Amino acid sequence: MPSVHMLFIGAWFVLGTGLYGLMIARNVLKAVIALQIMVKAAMLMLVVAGAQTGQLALGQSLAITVIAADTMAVVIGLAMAVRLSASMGTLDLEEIIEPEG
Amino acid sequence: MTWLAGLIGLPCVTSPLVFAFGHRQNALQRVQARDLALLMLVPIWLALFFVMRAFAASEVLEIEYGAISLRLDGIGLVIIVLAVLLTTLVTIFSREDLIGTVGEEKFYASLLLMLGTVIGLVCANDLFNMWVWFEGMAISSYLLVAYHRQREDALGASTKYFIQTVSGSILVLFGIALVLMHNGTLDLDEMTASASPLLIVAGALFVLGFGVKLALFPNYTWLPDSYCEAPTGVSALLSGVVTMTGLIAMMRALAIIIVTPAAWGGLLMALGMINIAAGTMLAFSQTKVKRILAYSSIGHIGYVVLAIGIGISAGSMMGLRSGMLHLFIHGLMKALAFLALGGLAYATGCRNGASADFTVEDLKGLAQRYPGVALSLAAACLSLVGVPPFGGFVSKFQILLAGVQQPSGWIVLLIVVAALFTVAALAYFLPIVNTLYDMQPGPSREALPNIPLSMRLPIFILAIALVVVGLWPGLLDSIIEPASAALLTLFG
Repeated sequence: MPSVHMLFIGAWFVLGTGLYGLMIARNVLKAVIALQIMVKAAMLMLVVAGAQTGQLALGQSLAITVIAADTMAVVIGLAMAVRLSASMGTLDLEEIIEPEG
Repeated sequence: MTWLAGLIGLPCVTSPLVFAFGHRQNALQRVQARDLALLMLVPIWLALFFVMRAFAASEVLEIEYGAISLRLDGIGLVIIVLAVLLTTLVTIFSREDLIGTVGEEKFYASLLLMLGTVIGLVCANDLFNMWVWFEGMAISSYLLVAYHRQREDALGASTKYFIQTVSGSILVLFGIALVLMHNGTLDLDEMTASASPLLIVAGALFVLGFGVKLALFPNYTWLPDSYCEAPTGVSALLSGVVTMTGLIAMMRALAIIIVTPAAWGGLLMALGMINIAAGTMLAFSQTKVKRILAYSSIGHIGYVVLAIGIGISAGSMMGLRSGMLHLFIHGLMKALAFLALGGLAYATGCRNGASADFTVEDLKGLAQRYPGVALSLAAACLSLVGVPPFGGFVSKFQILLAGVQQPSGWIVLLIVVAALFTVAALAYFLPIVNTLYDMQPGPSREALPNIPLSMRLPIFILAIALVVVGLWPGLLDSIIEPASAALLTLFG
């Protein structure tokens, strides 16, 4: 099996891992890590797509742009985690997000 | 097309300036961020004016920077006009609302950044480029939702918003990668629609991913919390502009995957209908006014999606037209409702995000003390229900009319149900109006301070606009017609 096809399947597995992690995460930090795993899957898929269509450079440059855009989002998520633990003393998602009608 | 470049670039460039010069600990601070932001909006209006003039002459504006191409069509123009107008009004409104809070300069900087990214997003002519703008818009909106960070509820709402939106945008990115794999390009002009399984999966990811921003049914749970906890002006912008921008992004992304218009149209109609039902039902049990308005937003997104679905499935210009009209008018009336409510909450002493806890009961008898603002809030509520002579009536009526004209019995049935939900919306908006004009002796309102002029001005501008649009809907034709034509070519 050519390696690109394996990477194609691998990207789906990484995405699934991230989604599963997000679903069971009870901690803000763990949720951010799960989101990061999902982003890595999308980046891998971009590179695979580039390789598949013979434009590896395009796929890689898109992936690098994603790193920049996504780092900003992570910074905000972590900053929020800092504020949360400072003001509420917990990072437990069940306590932070109370379900309301 | 330098004016278009200016229109996209100006808000993004001025945003750090507002932050740097408005920063309190900065030796450079000579001006308040709130004044500076307002000043910065002047050249943006100027650029918008010239862009609109150029647009009237040539219908489509394009600029290219190497591999990046930006293109303004009718759909983009509707959002841009709405975004610039509402951002200006919100900037004026928030002067008093946020005075004395920590980090004002960050608020105005994020507001301008959000405006810039919204404008960029609707102009992006490349899927990946669009995603980058989308992410930028999301980032600026997290900051705005979490503005009252001393409130635990605001932090919780923002965390919820963050996790849901980021996972949505990652799914979109994954879908974009699949599109790249199938087509070898991400340029929207060069794509050809086809029914490959890869693209169908990508389409599903787009509906899921953009559906978060758009608050489509299962992914709406962030919306009530965020709208409730965000500063009032931000709720107005999020509801009027940002969620609808998500809709535009979804439309553009789906257009390249469209196989049979009827199938996508049917999907959109179903999603829209579920949203109408969910939004209306969930609003019933709410007591906090901001939450009622938030849930009604979910319903109104449903109306827009339903109208566009009707338009696509039947190729009906009227459906698309009414959808775009409702998108625009919903922005005006929902912004008016939030701002008028924010003004009343401010006058009764709700500062620093406490307006989130403002209940319907708190409105009791406020109409005697603040007749103008109370009348504006009542007008916005009635317009949201769809009572003439306000703008909401015109657009809702046109959506229903477009649906009834379709030959398919299913669509007519959907429309009948949608009309019933419109009537049901009265059940949660009438108590607001009723309580406002309650003549029973309640808490004394005489000693309350006046609502500042900088708050009344945007409220009255929107209220007058709403009535004018309701009486002469033809005024909006010059921006709605190109938008619906562009949507029709998108799905043609």
